Amino acid sequence: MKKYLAIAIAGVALLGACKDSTAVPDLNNPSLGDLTTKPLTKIGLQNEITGYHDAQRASLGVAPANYIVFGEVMARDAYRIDASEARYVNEFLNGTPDPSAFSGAGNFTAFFRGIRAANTILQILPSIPAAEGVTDQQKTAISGMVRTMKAIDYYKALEYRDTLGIPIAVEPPLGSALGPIVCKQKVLDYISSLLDSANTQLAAGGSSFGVELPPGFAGFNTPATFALFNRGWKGKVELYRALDHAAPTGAAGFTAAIAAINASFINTTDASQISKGVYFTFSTSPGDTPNQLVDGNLHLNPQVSDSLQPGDKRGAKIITVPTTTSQSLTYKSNFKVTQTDPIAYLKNEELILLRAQAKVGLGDLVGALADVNFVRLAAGGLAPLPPFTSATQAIDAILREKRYSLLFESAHRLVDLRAYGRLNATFFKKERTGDIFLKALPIPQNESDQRGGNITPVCT
Amino acid sequence: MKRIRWSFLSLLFLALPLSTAFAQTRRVSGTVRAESGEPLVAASVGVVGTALGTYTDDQGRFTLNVTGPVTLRVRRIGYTQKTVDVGPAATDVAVVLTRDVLQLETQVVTGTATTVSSRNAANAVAVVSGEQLNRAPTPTIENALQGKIPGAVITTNSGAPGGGAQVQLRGVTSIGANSSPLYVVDGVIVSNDAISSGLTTITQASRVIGTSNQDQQVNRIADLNPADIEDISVLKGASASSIYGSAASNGVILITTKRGRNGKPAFNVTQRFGQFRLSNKLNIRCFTSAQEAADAGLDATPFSPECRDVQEEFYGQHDLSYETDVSVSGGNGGTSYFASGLVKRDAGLEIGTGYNKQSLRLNLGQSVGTRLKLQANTQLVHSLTARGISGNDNANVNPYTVFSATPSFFNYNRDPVTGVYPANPYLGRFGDNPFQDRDLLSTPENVYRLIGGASANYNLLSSSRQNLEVIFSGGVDQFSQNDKLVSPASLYFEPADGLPGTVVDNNSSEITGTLYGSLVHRFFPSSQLFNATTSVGFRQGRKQFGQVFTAGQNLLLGQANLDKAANITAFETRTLVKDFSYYGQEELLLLNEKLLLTAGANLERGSTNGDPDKFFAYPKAAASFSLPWRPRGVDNLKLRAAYGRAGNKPQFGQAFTPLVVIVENNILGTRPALNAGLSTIKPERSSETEAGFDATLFGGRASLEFTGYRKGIDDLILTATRAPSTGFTTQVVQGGSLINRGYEFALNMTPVQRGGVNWISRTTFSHNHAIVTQLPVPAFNTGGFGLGFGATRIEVGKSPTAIIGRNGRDTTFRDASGNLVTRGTGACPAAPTTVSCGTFVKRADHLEIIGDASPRFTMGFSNEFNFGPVRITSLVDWRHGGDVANLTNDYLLDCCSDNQGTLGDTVLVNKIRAKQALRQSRAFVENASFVKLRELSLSYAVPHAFVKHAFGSASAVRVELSGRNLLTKTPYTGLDPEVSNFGNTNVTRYFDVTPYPPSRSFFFSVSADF
Repeated sequence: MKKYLAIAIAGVALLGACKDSTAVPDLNNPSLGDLTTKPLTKIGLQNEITGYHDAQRASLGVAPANYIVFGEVMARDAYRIDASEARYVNEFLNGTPDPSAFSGAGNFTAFFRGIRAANTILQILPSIPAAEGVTDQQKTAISGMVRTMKAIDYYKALEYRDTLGIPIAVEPPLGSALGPIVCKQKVLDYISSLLDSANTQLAAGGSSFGVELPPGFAGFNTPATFALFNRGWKGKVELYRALDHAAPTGAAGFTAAIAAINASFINTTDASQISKGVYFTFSTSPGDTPNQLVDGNLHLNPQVSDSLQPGDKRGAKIITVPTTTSQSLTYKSNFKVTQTDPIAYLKNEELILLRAQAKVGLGDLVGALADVNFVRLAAGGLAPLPPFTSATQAIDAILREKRYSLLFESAHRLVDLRAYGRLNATFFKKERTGDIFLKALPIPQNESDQRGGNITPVCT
Repeated sequence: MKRIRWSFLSLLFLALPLSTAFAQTRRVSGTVRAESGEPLVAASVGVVGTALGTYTDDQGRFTLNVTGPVTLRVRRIGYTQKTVDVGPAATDVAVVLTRDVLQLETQVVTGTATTVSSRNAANAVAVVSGEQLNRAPTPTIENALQGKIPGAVITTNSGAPGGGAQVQLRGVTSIGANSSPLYVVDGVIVSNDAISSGLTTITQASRVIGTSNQDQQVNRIADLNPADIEDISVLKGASASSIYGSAASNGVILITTKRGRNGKPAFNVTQRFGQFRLSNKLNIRCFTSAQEAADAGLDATPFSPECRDVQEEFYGQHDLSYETDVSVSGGNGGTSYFASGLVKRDAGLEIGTGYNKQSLRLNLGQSVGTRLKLQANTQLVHSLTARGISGNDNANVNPYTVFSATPSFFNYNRDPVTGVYPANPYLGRFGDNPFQDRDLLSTPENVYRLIGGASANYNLLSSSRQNLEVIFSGGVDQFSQNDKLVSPASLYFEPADGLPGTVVDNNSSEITGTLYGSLVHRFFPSSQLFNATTSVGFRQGRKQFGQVFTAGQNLLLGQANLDKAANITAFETRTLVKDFSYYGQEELLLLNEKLLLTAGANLERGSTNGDPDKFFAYPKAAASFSLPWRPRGVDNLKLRAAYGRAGNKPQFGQAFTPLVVIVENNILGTRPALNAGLSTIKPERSSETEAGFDATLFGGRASLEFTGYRKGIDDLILTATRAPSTGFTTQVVQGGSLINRGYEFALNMTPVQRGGVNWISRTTFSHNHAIVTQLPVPAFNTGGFGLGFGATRIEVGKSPTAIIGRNGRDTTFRDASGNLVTRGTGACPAAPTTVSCGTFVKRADHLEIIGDASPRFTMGFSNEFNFGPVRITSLVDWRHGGDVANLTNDYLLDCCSDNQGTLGDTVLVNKIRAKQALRQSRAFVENASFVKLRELSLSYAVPHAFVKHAFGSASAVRVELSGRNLLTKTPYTGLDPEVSNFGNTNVTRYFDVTPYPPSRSFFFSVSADF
């Protein structure tokens, strides 16, 4: 009897075990597969758009904000002196960032991650059911917004690779052949046309996106106002197309830049509007990201505080600290920032100075002077400059204003010094013998490996 | 499924013969004694060729009912087995067993419910006895196994108290899946997971507020109490372990804890006292004058010409460490019991660090009637580990980071009057003082763990020709781990991130449950041509993990609760892994037990597979043959060969491509993550073939085991690198193969055995060579900190642990503006530079394989000398080959190409700089061979008369002096060649980043039996 009981128990145990399915879903995260296979809700769309905005904010870099820090270090405005990470000094100042490390491979992936997010939104957007309350016009507007942001991601990726070019084709599914690395000139052409077609969509996008934008877009969160932001970027891109090292568009480019900037939110009449623009905002609330420029290892090159004109209100961003020498570098001031300070994405102050650069390119020194002096007065509380006597002098003056107006906001100074051929020992003192001036970061090792080492940019 | 299940059961019934014949029987009784005359309890006495058998009682007596003339086989652990012929009329037998000094005779596990004598074993299963484990006190069990198992490479991750070590059996067996062997304690699968504390929240090692594999985590097998262990069997690969299916590819470590035997209660008390001392330091430059400091660009005011040995000051805690073990075991009637308690404290080298463990164990056995046996084993353990700060660090808070940037004349000591710790001016604005951190920052990790298992063994059918047992067993391993890291706002480094004060409260719990059911049928046909053991059964496993991590920053000074922090970061992680398998196995012993043939299979499905309902098969087959003729001096020569398959299941989540969830200004957002999953993922498949021989020589005075093997791993799970321009950095892919080939031997000898003097010597040797033979993706680099320090290269034709780096053959140079030029010409270089030399700088350094993290071979030399009451044991562990990337040296180079401000030892620094100047990664990737004197002990058995006089009721007392890791000889320039910044990993365990320094330990022990 016992025997049969035991066998019965064994049999039941076997049966029971089989009924219990072994399947377990992903307990920790939603899945990308769900997004493309299930019809999307409006809330799902909102999540994706917020996710993309956050991707752009995150592409500034997380602890530290390397999009800004690398550029400012390369442009010799800043040093990052870190006993546990000496590569900020010994790779960036002597020009050998390792393409396999965070240094040489930096400021690359984050932008393509953003572009992948943008492409995902553009892919799912048409399939959102009408019942979700997203109109076709809103879809057009959202497409215009996402494609504007995508163009900016390409532009920022290019800032750091410059003449090495970047890939444009991000859409192919994983595992298929990679699109070529495209030369700088062609990438700029592509960005320019992407911004234009996005602008057309924004213009046809009605009065509302139907989704929320981050608070940093206050004043720019309708299709019509977002278009002003689009035009600002268009102006910036046109300026650097005009200054391209290989195939500068020249006067036509400068003219296009001025036209686009004039169609943006530039304001040179109301000094109180000098800081108007779009910002990345930060917060310390749970799950959110604080401003990543708060970094005890970040210091200013003494030149920055030494060259500051007395009385310049923008000097408030600079705080004096005891003079210290570490890793053979001396510093005496730091950039002042808190966890919740916003970082400008694009602001009036920058647009005015970009227009001044374009005007110099066209030989309009008088117009450029007016723009520069407006910024000096509105942002710095400084007296106007006397008329420029040469284009070189005008550019010197504009770059000096940009340094203080846009300190620790982007890679602007690296881009300008490079475009105007000033990133060299003639303009800067080398910190140590053997140091050189790094103009761009290399193509990351992983990118190059996956292309079998073929990273020659294609320019056809 | 239903149909298969029923066919299993019906097959089983068919195997049962329908009638059982009885002949005239008589009762045989006897005694089993040792040579000393002492009766042997619980010796097994079996009738050869039948299923009949029994065990001796506490007087060493046994009785058996037999028919006609029989042969009895008498076995007892620790003694050489003996067969005794009993004539047709004999009723009294006296058996004397001799001691098995070399421990040649063990029971080798062949399945979840079956074993075979080591005389017949077809696999090279290493068995280590509890006595061999406990010769010198060890922090954790892995330390006790080092150098004792051929085929195993066991390496600690740092010198921090409380464990952290990796066991690799027969090479690297995976690249992207689980790296740990499976641990089974008394049939219960136990967790060896390493749960990160969240230290990176303070050190920013991975630049996240959260957890990281750079948290210097402890793998949880550390919780076991080595003193409870009866023996450990190590199944090194699929040929032995296939019954464990997709958990067995990395090998299986089976631990059996002690059980009681019939007899009076036997008490043992062992008390140990000892000390840990810093065993190696880095050469840090000593400044002897203010001028020298000034030349190095250091602010030397105030300079006092002091050459402070900051490492000795900081890592110089010599507090008492202790360990108290008590145990009692015994049994009577049908009950047996073993109970033990442990209280242990290992003081760390750094004040405030240490390892405390308390453990209770109760193992109970009960026979109910003659057919049912019940056994329940439980262990309850608590450990408290405080490991301080070590490992990679981006917050300038690791002591070695600070020491590498602060000159030798700086005084860190707290002002005794004001209580102020001096600020460190050499590390910028937030220059840290590790002595302040040591006193004010706390890193306690509390683990409470319960491992419990029970089994019921019911004899359904028992006759002289066959028996049938049904076995149910199940067990649960449950633990919870709490890490509470508190870093007060007053520490110098804390305000650097703008949020002074940090608290981490990290709660994890894990439950691993296993349920087995087996039917075992043993058949002894009257023809005596063979014995057959058939087993079938099922196993169900479930492992559930949950972690709730909360970090608070901007913490009110003096407070440690999360609600006293202004900025909260929280996350939760959950995993659930379920699997289910059927298994069946047939073992045949033929030719008078000289030939063993085995075949079996395991069918398993698991929830981490892309298709959770699909069954994967893991077959095995093995044979051993003891040669009937043998050369002179050879007692026994057995040839053996085995083949088997096992798997390595995917990790939880590898089947999914997740969306990252973020919060921006209180709005939830999602976007594609950087890592893509593989929806069709399945287990890695490991196929192992091993063959070898076991020889017993010179009348049991020596034994030699030799095994060669080939272990192929197919369907590798790889986290392959993707071009970052795709928006993904990695993707889980499956495919490709790697092969481990190697050989190992164990040579055991008793060169001297005369009177009270004997010398036992054991030598183990392992050589393994691994090669990647196929990849589904282009070759890629993984792990590490950039190629300047070396990275793992996964490439066809290379070892999976190959290290790639720059070989210094840089043919390109830059001009003053940073343009690339060919040496001497000043013009733009042609190929191999693939880009034009316009306005940027490109490195054209030549990359090649510059090293390998795996050793060429390892050897262990263990010796035991007994001179009457005195015993001396030693263990030397030798690793030849294997490289380590020494990033710690990079810290000591400081920053500068002009050699200014360097705090490292000048000779070493110049050597590294010379290689660095040539752009050679070999500047940091170093040979990490070593020879270590792992164990040395001297013990003395106090004479019986004196014991009686001094200890009263004690029956035996031993006193012992022992030491661990006393000497190390290595060309490696870092602290310890045994190091892993990333903890336990498959292919990237060779990074040395400012670890906790190594120690040597000394213990004095008294052990008394009552």
